Amino acid sequence: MIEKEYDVIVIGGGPAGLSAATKAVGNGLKTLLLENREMLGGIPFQCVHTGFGIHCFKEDLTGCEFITRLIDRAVENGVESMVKTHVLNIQVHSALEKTVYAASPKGFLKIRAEAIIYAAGARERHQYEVGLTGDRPDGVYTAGEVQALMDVYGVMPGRRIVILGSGDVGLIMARRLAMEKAEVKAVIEILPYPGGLTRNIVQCLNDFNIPLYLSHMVSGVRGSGRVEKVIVTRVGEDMKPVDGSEFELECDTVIVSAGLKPDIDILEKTGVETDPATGGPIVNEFYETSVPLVFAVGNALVVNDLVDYNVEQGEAAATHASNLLEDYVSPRVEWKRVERGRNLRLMVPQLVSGDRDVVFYGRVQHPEDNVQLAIRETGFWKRFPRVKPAEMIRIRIPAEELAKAHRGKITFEVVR
Amino acid sequence: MIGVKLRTTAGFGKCQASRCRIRIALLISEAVGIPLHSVIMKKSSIGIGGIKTLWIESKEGVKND
Repeated sequence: MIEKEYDVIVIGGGPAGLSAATKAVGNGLKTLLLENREMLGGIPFQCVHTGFGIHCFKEDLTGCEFITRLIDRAVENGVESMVKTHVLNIQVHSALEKTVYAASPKGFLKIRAEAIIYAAGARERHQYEVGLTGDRPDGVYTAGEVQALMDVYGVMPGRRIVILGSGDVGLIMARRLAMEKAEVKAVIEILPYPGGLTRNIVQCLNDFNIPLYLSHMVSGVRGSGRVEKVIVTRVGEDMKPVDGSEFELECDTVIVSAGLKPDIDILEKTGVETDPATGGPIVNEFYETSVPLVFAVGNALVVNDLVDYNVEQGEAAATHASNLLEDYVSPRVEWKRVERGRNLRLMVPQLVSGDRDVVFYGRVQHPEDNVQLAIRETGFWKRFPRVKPAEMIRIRIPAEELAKAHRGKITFEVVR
Repeated sequence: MIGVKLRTTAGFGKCQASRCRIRIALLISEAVGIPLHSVIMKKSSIGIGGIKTLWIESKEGVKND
């Protein structure tokens, strides 16, 4: 067993992890970055489409270009990293003592650290989570998996494709497959509105004449060996299938694009509190979970729309980590709980002190026009011309506004 | 691949093989010495061919028509 000791361990070498590690090293902390794949980079590595780094580098980059810049920046700053290293367990002994157990090609690792930044990203919802029933033939993939298959390993999964769910990854894969001369039969979405960004609906579906079926669901997969066809049914307003509206689509591949879920299995074992709304841990304004000096950032905290938000969260967590490590004193403040009012699905961070400005990330439940995002306790509001579940709300609230809220809670709500 | 799955319980976890399917396929393709796209999952292969070769083939097909 190899034993090591560091100030901070960053788990996950994606955008959030890389930027957190870079920042931590810049702040003079002895940092180790652990990544489970063969190379650093995480998911942007397999994204050949553009749309990365618009805020962060003020340029429209592809995923590969974007992540190469982040990796280069990390290497220039002297970030120490280990790839092919799979974290098995995190043990928390006390606020400043943690042990990370990991398996690597060099052997079993036991690493002691004061702080942990958890940036292991999200996993995709799979076929059984979206209730895909019927036979269980080969040829049912998730969207990210197909992306890796095509753009990292150069394998074409099939010829006739049906995509289930209209999340961004699904839409982008529809375009990608259409470019490679696959026949994308349909994109099927159960909700009456698309799950992806408007620009992706236009650029990926309309431009390639791919039909989008809203308020439809796949009620069965048929095939022995390989997928042969899917049965599509229209759903009514009550989300129940409408009898007699079934039709069949012949296909050899079904792609499930049903969104992402923070992947926090290892973190959960340390006993962090989780938020059912985000699927991730509950964090305070330092991105610290309920376990002291264990931070969660990026898609492991909340599924972000823009990679820039992940970078921002990673850097913020690393800065807070180094500030807190400088002079660590245990229970610090009375936290104010962030509550969600009307039409808000999630809001991160969930705990604030009111001592400093906080950037909030939120998501609404259903689309609405011409609304205000308001704080009930303080009367703060900001106007939004349009809010959609597909597009995250990012808002910076000044410290004095947060300090005004008494009684230990702050309620955000979307009002007309 | 189903053989590897049943012997090692790989792919039985929370993400139902959406991340490790490719890794298992890569290991099999290296060990057996076959291209990645021809690795058999249960009964059919993981892919129908390499993206680039299929693209060239389809182009030639158009030319011949």
